[in-house]
Amino acid sequence: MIPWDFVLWFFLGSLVLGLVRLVIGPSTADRLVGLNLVAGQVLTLLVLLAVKEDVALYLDVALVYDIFGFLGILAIVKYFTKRRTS
Amino acid sequence: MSAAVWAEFVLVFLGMGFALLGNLGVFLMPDPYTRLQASATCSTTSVISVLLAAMAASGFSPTTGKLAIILLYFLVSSPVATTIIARYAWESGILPWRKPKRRPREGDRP
Amino acid sequence: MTPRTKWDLVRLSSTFLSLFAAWLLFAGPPNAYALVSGALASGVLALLTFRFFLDEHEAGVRHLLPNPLLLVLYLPYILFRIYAASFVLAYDMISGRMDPRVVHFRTRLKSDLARAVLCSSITLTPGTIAILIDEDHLLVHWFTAPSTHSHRARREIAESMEKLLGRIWS
Repeated sequence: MIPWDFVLWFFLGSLVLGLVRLVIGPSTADRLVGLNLVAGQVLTLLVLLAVKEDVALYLDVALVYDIFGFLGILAIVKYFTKRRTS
Repeated sequence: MSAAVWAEFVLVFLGMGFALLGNLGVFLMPDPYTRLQASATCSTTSVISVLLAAMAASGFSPTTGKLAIILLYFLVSSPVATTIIARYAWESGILPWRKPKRRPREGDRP
Repeated sequence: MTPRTKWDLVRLSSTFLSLFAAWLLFAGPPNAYALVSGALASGVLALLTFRFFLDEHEAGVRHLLPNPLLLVLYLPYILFRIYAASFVLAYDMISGRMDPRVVHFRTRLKSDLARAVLCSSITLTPGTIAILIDEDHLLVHWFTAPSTHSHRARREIAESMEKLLGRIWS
Protein backbone atom coordinates (compact mmCIF):
# COMPACT_ATOMS: atom_id res chain seq x y z
CA MET A 1 0.00 0.00 0.00
CA ILE A 2 0.96 3.61 -0.42
CA PRO A 3 2.47 5.22 2.71
CA TRP A 4 -0.10 8.02 2.89
CA ASP A 5 1.54 9.48 6.03
CA PHE A 6 4.82 10.00 4.23
CA VAL A 7 3.07 11.58 1.24
CA LEU A 8 1.19 13.98 3.55
CA TRP A 9 4.37 15.05 5.34
CA PHE A 10 6.15 15.46 2.00
CA PHE A 11 3.46 17.80 0.67
CA LEU A 12 3.47 19.71 3.96
CA GLY A 13 7.22 20.19 3.62
CA SER A 14 7.05 21.32 0.00
CA LEU A 15 4.24 23.75 0.95
CA VAL A 16 6.70 25.55 3.23
CA LEU A 17 8.87 26.40 0.21
CA GLY A 18 5.87 28.07 -1.40
CA LEU A 19 5.17 29.94 1.84
CA VAL A 20 8.74 31.29 1.80
CA ARG A 21 8.09 32.81 -1.62
CA LEU A 22 4.80 34.21 -0.34
CA VAL A 23 6.64 35.99 2.50
CA ILE A 24 9.79 37.26 0.76
CA GLY A 25 8.39 37.98 -2.73
CA PRO A 26 9.63 41.41 -3.76
CA SER A 27 6.54 42.47 -5.74
CA THR A 28 2.82 41.82 -5.40
CA ALA A 29 2.85 39.51 -8.41
CA ASP A 30 5.44 37.29 -6.72
CA ARG A 31 3.32 37.03 -3.61
CA LEU A 32 0.31 36.11 -5.73
CA VAL A 33 2.32 33.35 -7.39
CA GLY A 34 3.19 32.00 -3.94
CA LEU A 35 -0.45 32.23 -2.88
CA ASN A 36 -1.60 30.32 -5.96
CA LEU A 37 0.98 27.61 -5.29
CA VAL A 38 0.04 27.29 -1.61
CA ALA A 39 -3.67 27.08 -2.52
CA GLY A 40 -2.97 24.19 -4.90
CA GLN A 41 -0.93 22.32 -2.30
CA VAL A 42 -3.57 22.76 0.40
CA LEU A 43 -6.12 21.31 -2.03
CA THR A 44 -3.78 18.34 -2.49
CA LEU A 45 -3.43 17.93 1.28
CA LEU A 46 -7.20 17.94 1.80
CA VAL A 47 -7.75 15.36 -0.96
CA LEU A 48 -5.01 13.10 0.43
CA LEU A 49 -6.45 13.39 3.95
CA ALA A 50 -9.91 12.50 2.63
CA VAL A 51 -8.56 9.38 0.91
CA LYS A 52 -6.38 8.33 3.85
CA GLU A 53 -9.03 8.68 6.55
CA ASP A 54 -11.88 7.76 4.16
CA VAL A 55 -13.95 10.82 5.13
CA ALA A 56 -15.83 12.14 2.08
CA LEU A 57 -16.67 15.38 3.92
CA TYR A 58 -13.12 16.63 3.42
CA LEU A 59 -13.76 16.60 -0.32
CA ASP A 60 -16.53 19.19 0.05
CA VAL A 61 -14.13 21.26 2.13
CA ALA A 62 -11.52 20.89 -0.64
CA LEU A 63 -13.95 22.04 -3.33
CA VAL A 64 -15.08 25.08 -1.33
CA TYR A 65 -11.46 25.89 -0.48
CA ASP A 66 -10.58 25.78 -4.18
CA ILE A 67 -13.50 28.06 -5.11
CA PHE A 68 -12.66 30.58 -2.39
CA GLY A 69 -8.94 30.52 -3.17
CA PHE A 70 -9.78 31.43 -6.77
CA LEU A 71 -12.17 34.19 -5.67
CA GLY A 72 -9.56 35.50 -3.24
CA ILE A 73 -6.93 35.83 -5.96
CA LEU A 74 -9.52 37.56 -8.17
CA ALA A 75 -10.42 40.01 -5.39
CA ILE A 76 -6.78 40.79 -4.54
CA VAL A 77 -5.93 41.47 -8.18
CA LYS A 78 -9.02 43.67 -8.60
CA TYR A 79 -8.18 45.64 -5.45
CA PHE A 80 -4.59 46.35 -6.43
CA THR A 81 -5.49 47.25 -10.02
CA LYS A 82 -7.96 49.91 -8.77
CA ARG A 83 -5.34 51.14 -6.32
CA ARG A 84 -2.79 51.67 -9.07
CA THR A 85 -4.98 53.63 -11.50
CA SER A 86 -6.60 55.98 -8.98
CA MET B 1 -0.51 -6.10 -6.97
CA SER B 2 -3.26 -5.05 -9.30
CA ALA B 3 -3.09 -2.47 -12.05
CA ALA B 4 -4.95 0.14 -9.97
CA VAL B 5 -2.36 -0.03 -7.18
CA TRP B 6 0.47 0.35 -9.68
CA ALA B 7 -1.30 3.34 -11.24
CA GLU B 8 -1.68 4.87 -7.77
CA PHE B 9 2.02 4.40 -7.03
CA VAL B 10 3.14 5.93 -10.31
CA LEU B 11 0.72 8.87 -10.07
CA VAL B 12 1.55 9.71 -6.45
CA PHE B 13 5.24 9.49 -7.25
CA LEU B 14 4.79 11.81 -10.26
CA GLY B 15 2.77 14.21 -8.11
CA MET B 16 5.48 14.36 -5.46
CA GLY B 17 8.24 14.88 -8.01
CA PHE B 18 6.41 17.67 -9.84
CA ALA B 19 5.42 19.35 -6.56
CA LEU B 20 9.04 19.45 -5.43
CA LEU B 21 10.15 20.72 -8.83
CA GLY B 22 7.47 23.42 -8.92
CA ASN B 23 8.27 24.68 -5.43
CA LEU B 24 12.01 24.74 -6.11
CA GLY B 25 11.33 26.52 -9.40
CA VAL B 26 9.24 29.18 -7.68
CA PHE B 27 12.04 29.58 -5.16
CA LEU B 28 14.92 29.85 -7.65
CA MET B 29 13.60 31.50 -10.84
CA PRO B 30 14.55 35.11 -11.59
CA ASP B 31 11.29 36.98 -12.35
CA PRO B 32 7.49 36.70 -11.80
CA TYR B 33 6.76 35.23 -15.22
CA THR B 34 9.22 32.37 -14.96
CA ARG B 35 8.12 31.75 -11.37
CA LEU B 36 4.57 31.60 -12.66
CA GLN B 37 5.67 29.10 -15.31
CA ALA B 38 7.25 26.87 -12.69
CA SER B 39 4.36 27.11 -10.25
CA ALA B 40 1.49 26.95 -12.71
CA THR B 41 2.87 24.06 -14.67
CA CYS B 42 4.46 21.77 -12.16
CA SER B 43 2.01 22.32 -9.34
CA THR B 44 -0.93 21.96 -11.73
CA THR B 45 0.49 18.67 -12.95
CA SER B 46 1.09 17.48 -9.39
CA VAL B 47 -2.45 18.35 -8.28
CA ILE B 48 -3.92 16.58 -11.32
CA SER B 49 -1.72 13.53 -10.63
CA VAL B 50 -2.76 13.35 -6.98
CA LEU B 51 -6.44 13.73 -7.89
CA LEU B 52 -6.16 10.93 -10.46
CA ALA B 53 -4.34 8.77 -7.91
CA ALA B 54 -7.09 9.40 -5.35
CA MET B 55 -9.68 8.47 -7.97
CA ALA B 56 -7.82 5.22 -8.62
CA ALA B 57 -7.53 4.56 -4.87
CA SER B 58 -11.20 5.07 -4.04
CA GLY B 59 -12.45 2.82 -6.81
CA PHE B 60 -15.99 3.13 -8.18
CA SER B 61 -17.89 5.09 -5.53
CA PRO B 62 -19.50 8.54 -4.91
CA THR B 63 -16.08 9.73 -3.75
CA THR B 64 -14.78 9.27 -7.29
CA GLY B 65 -17.59 11.43 -8.65
CA LYS B 66 -16.78 14.21 -6.20
CA LEU B 67 -13.10 13.95 -7.11
CA ALA B 68 -14.04 14.20 -10.79
CA ILE B 69 -16.00 17.40 -10.08
CA ILE B 70 -13.03 18.83 -8.16
CA LEU B 71 -10.73 17.90 -11.06
CA LEU B 72 -13.01 19.57 -13.62
CA TYR B 73 -13.30 22.70 -11.50
CA PHE B 74 -9.54 22.76 -10.99
CA LEU B 75 -8.97 22.43 -14.75
CA VAL B 76 -11.15 25.51 -15.27
CA SER B 77 -10.03 27.69 -12.36
CA SER B 78 -6.28 27.10 -12.28
CA PRO B 79 -5.45 28.48 -15.77
CA VAL B 80 -7.78 31.44 -15.26
CA ALA B 81 -6.03 32.35 -11.99
CA THR B 82 -2.64 31.99 -13.69
CA THR B 83 -3.67 34.20 -16.59
CA ILE B 84 -5.04 36.82 -14.20
CA ILE B 85 -1.78 36.91 -12.24
CA ALA B 86 0.26 37.14 -15.45
CA ARG B 87 -1.95 39.96 -16.75
CA TYR B 88 -1.61 41.79 -13.44
CA ALA B 89 2.19 41.49 -13.61
CA TRP B 90 2.14 42.67 -17.25
CA GLU B 91 -0.10 45.64 -16.53
CA SER B 92 1.89 46.74 -13.49
CA GLY B 93 4.85 47.11 -15.83
CA ILE B 94 7.12 44.21 -14.85
CA LEU B 95 9.36 43.38 -17.80
CA PRO B 96 10.11 39.71 -18.50
CA TRP B 97 13.58 38.42 -17.69
CA ARG B 98 15.73 37.74 -20.75
CA LYS B 99 18.59 35.34 -21.01
CA PRO B 100 21.75 37.48 -20.84
CA LYS B 101 23.80 37.52 -24.03
CA ARG B 102 27.06 35.62 -23.77
CA ARG B 103 30.07 37.92 -23.72
CA PRO B 104 32.79 37.12 -26.27
CA ARG B 105 35.77 35.52 -24.58
CA GLU B 106 39.49 35.49 -25.37
CA GLY B 107 39.66 32.43 -27.58
CA ASP B 108 36.47 33.09 -29.58
CA ARG B 109 36.62 33.45 -33.32
CA PRO B 110 35.22 36.77 -34.50
CA MET C 1 -42.63 40.53 -29.10
CA THR C 2 -39.52 41.89 -30.72
CA PRO C 3 -36.60 39.63 -31.62
CA ARG C 4 -34.57 41.32 -28.88
CA THR C 5 -37.09 40.31 -26.20
CA LYS C 6 -37.09 36.76 -27.53
CA TRP C 7 -33.30 36.62 -27.39
CA ASP C 8 -33.40 37.99 -23.84
CA LEU C 9 -35.81 35.23 -22.84
CA VAL C 10 -33.56 32.59 -24.41
CA ARG C 11 -30.58 33.98 -22.54
CA LEU C 12 -32.50 34.06 -19.28
CA SER C 13 -33.77 30.51 -19.58
CA SER C 14 -30.41 29.06 -20.63
CA THR C 15 -28.73 30.80 -17.67
CA PHE C 16 -31.38 29.39 -15.36
CA LEU C 17 -31.00 25.88 -16.77
CA SER C 18 -27.21 25.83 -16.39
CA LEU C 19 -27.38 27.16 -12.83
CA PHE C 20 -30.04 24.60 -11.90
CA ALA C 21 -28.04 21.75 -13.46
CA ALA C 22 -24.98 22.77 -11.41
CA TRP C 23 -27.18 22.87 -8.28
CA LEU C 24 -28.53 19.38 -8.95
CA LEU C 25 -24.99 18.11 -9.41
CA PHE C 26 -23.92 19.38 -5.98
CA ALA C 27 -27.10 18.82 -3.97
CA GLY C 28 -26.79 15.06 -4.07
CA PRO C 29 -30.02 12.98 -3.80
CA PRO C 30 -32.85 15.43 -4.58
CA ASN C 31 -35.78 16.00 -2.21
CA ALA C 32 -38.58 18.57 -2.42
CA TYR C 33 -36.90 21.20 -0.24
CA ALA C 34 -33.64 21.03 -2.21
CA LEU C 35 -35.48 21.27 -5.54
CA VAL C 36 -37.63 24.28 -4.57
CA SER C 37 -34.87 26.27 -2.87
CA GLY C 38 -32.46 25.49 -5.72
CA ALA C 39 -35.01 26.62 -8.31
CA LEU C 40 -35.66 29.86 -6.40
CA ALA C 41 -31.98 30.63 -5.93
CA SER C 42 -31.09 29.92 -9.55
CA GLY C 43 -34.07 32.00 -10.70
CA VAL C 44 -32.90 35.04 -8.75
CA LEU C 45 -29.29 34.53 -9.84
CA ALA C 46 -30.34 34.11 -13.47
CA LEU C 47 -32.32 37.37 -13.34
CA LEU C 48 -29.27 39.14 -11.92
CA THR C 49 -26.58 37.70 -14.18
CA PHE C 50 -28.05 36.66 -17.55
CA ARG C 51 -26.64 39.81 -19.16
CA PHE C 52 -23.07 38.63 -18.54
CA PHE C 53 -23.62 34.90 -18.96
CA LEU C 54 -24.27 35.09 -22.69
CA ASP C 55 -22.98 38.11 -24.51
CA GLU C 56 -25.56 40.02 -26.53
CA HIS C 57 -23.86 39.57 -29.90
CA GLU C 58 -23.16 35.84 -29.42
CA ALA C 59 -26.27 34.75 -31.29
CA GLY C 60 -24.83 31.89 -33.39
CA VAL C 61 -25.92 28.51 -32.06
CA ARG C 62 -22.79 26.73 -33.28
CA HIS C 63 -20.68 29.28 -31.40
CA LEU C 64 -22.21 28.26 -28.09
CA LEU C 65 -23.22 24.62 -28.31
CA PRO C 66 -20.22 22.30 -28.62
CA ASN C 67 -19.96 19.08 -30.53
CA PRO C 68 -20.41 16.73 -27.52
CA LEU C 69 -18.38 13.75 -28.78
CA LEU C 70 -15.33 15.84 -29.64
CA LEU C 71 -15.69 17.78 -26.37
CA VAL C 72 -15.43 14.50 -24.45
CA LEU C 73 -12.37 13.60 -26.53
CA TYR C 74 -10.77 16.97 -25.79
CA LEU C 75 -10.27 16.22 -22.07
CA PRO C 76 -7.94 13.19 -22.44
CA TYR C 77 -6.16 15.02 -25.25
CA ILE C 78 -5.41 18.05 -23.05
CA LEU C 79 -4.36 15.76 -20.16
CA PHE C 80 -1.93 14.01 -22.49
CA ARG C 81 -0.57 17.37 -23.64
CA ILE C 82 -0.13 18.50 -20.01
CA TYR C 83 1.87 15.43 -19.07
CA ALA C 84 4.03 15.45 -22.20
CA ALA C 85 4.85 19.12 -21.81
CA SER C 86 5.47 18.73 -18.05
CA PHE C 87 8.28 16.27 -18.66
CA VAL C 88 9.82 18.54 -21.29
CA LEU C 89 9.60 21.52 -18.93
CA ALA C 90 11.05 19.52 -16.03
CA TYR C 91 14.03 18.57 -18.21
CA ASP C 92 14.45 22.19 -19.31
CA MET C 93 14.35 23.47 -15.74
CA ILE C 94 16.84 20.91 -14.45
CA SER C 95 19.29 21.39 -17.31
CA GLY C 96 18.90 25.19 -17.15
CA ARG C 97 18.03 25.43 -20.86
CA MET C 98 15.67 28.41 -20.49
CA ASP C 99 15.19 31.34 -22.85
CA PRO C 100 11.91 33.05 -21.97
CA ARG C 101 10.33 35.40 -24.51
CA VAL C 102 6.97 37.06 -25.01
CA VAL C 103 5.42 36.23 -28.39
CA HIS C 104 2.31 37.57 -30.07
CA PHE C 105 0.04 35.83 -32.55
CA ARG C 106 -3.53 35.81 -33.74
CA THR C 107 -5.91 32.90 -33.50
CA ARG C 108 -8.26 31.89 -36.29
CA LEU C 109 -11.10 30.83 -34.00
CA LYS C 110 -14.30 32.84 -34.30
CA SER C 111 -16.34 31.91 -31.22
CA ASP C 112 -15.67 33.67 -27.90
CA LEU C 113 -16.07 30.45 -25.93
CA ALA C 114 -13.57 28.60 -28.11
CA ARG C 115 -11.11 31.49 -27.70
CA ALA C 116 -11.47 31.34 -23.91
CA VAL C 117 -10.91 27.58 -23.93
CA LEU C 118 -7.87 28.04 -26.19
CA CYS C 119 -6.46 30.62 -23.75
CA SER C 120 -6.98 28.24 -20.83
CA SER C 121 -5.44 25.35 -22.72
CA ILE C 122 -2.37 27.39 -23.61
CA THR C 123 -1.94 28.34 -19.95
CA LEU C 124 -2.57 24.80 -18.78
CA THR C 125 0.07 23.39 -21.10
CA PRO C 126 3.38 23.71 -19.28
CA GLY C 127 5.91 26.05 -20.84
CA THR C 128 3.44 28.62 -22.16
CA ILE C 129 1.28 31.18 -20.35
CA ALA C 130 -1.27 33.39 -22.10
CA ILE C 131 -0.76 36.89 -20.66
CA LEU C 132 -3.38 38.87 -22.54
CA ILE C 133 -6.24 37.93 -24.82
CA ASP C 134 -8.00 40.68 -26.73
CA GLU C 135 -10.50 39.53 -29.39
CA ASP C 136 -8.21 37.36 -31.53
CA HIS C 137 -4.83 38.72 -30.39
CA LEU C 138 -2.93 36.57 -27.92
CA LEU C 139 0.18 37.51 -25.95
CA VAL C 140 2.00 34.42 -24.75
CA HIS C 141 4.97 34.01 -22.42
CA TRP C 142 7.03 31.12 -23.77
CA PHE C 143 9.58 29.41 -21.54
CA THR C 144 11.92 28.02 -24.20
CA ALA C 145 11.33 30.14 -27.27
CA PRO C 146 13.32 29.14 -30.37
CA SER C 147 12.15 32.34 -32.12
CA THR C 148 9.72 35.20 -31.64
CA HIS C 149 8.29 34.90 -35.14
CA SER C 150 4.51 35.10 -35.00
CA HIS C 151 3.68 32.31 -37.47
CA ARG C 152 6.17 29.89 -35.97
CA ALA C 153 4.87 30.61 -32.46
CA ARG C 154 1.30 29.96 -33.57
CA ARG C 155 2.30 26.77 -35.35
CA GLU C 156 4.19 25.36 -32.35
CA ILE C 157 1.93 26.54 -29.51
CA ALA C 158 -1.63 26.65 -30.71
CA GLU C 159 -2.21 25.00 -34.05
CA SER C 160 -3.08 21.46 -32.97
CA MET C 161 -5.42 22.64 -30.21
CA GLU C 162 -6.90 25.24 -32.55
CA LYS C 163 -7.81 22.59 -35.14
CA LEU C 164 -9.67 20.51 -32.57
CA LEU C 165 -11.40 23.52 -30.97
CA GLY C 166 -12.42 24.82 -34.37
CA ARG C 167 -14.26 21.56 -34.94
CA ILE C 168 -15.85 21.55 -31.47
CA TRP C 169 -17.28 25.08 -31.70
CA SER C 170 -17.39 25.43 -35.45
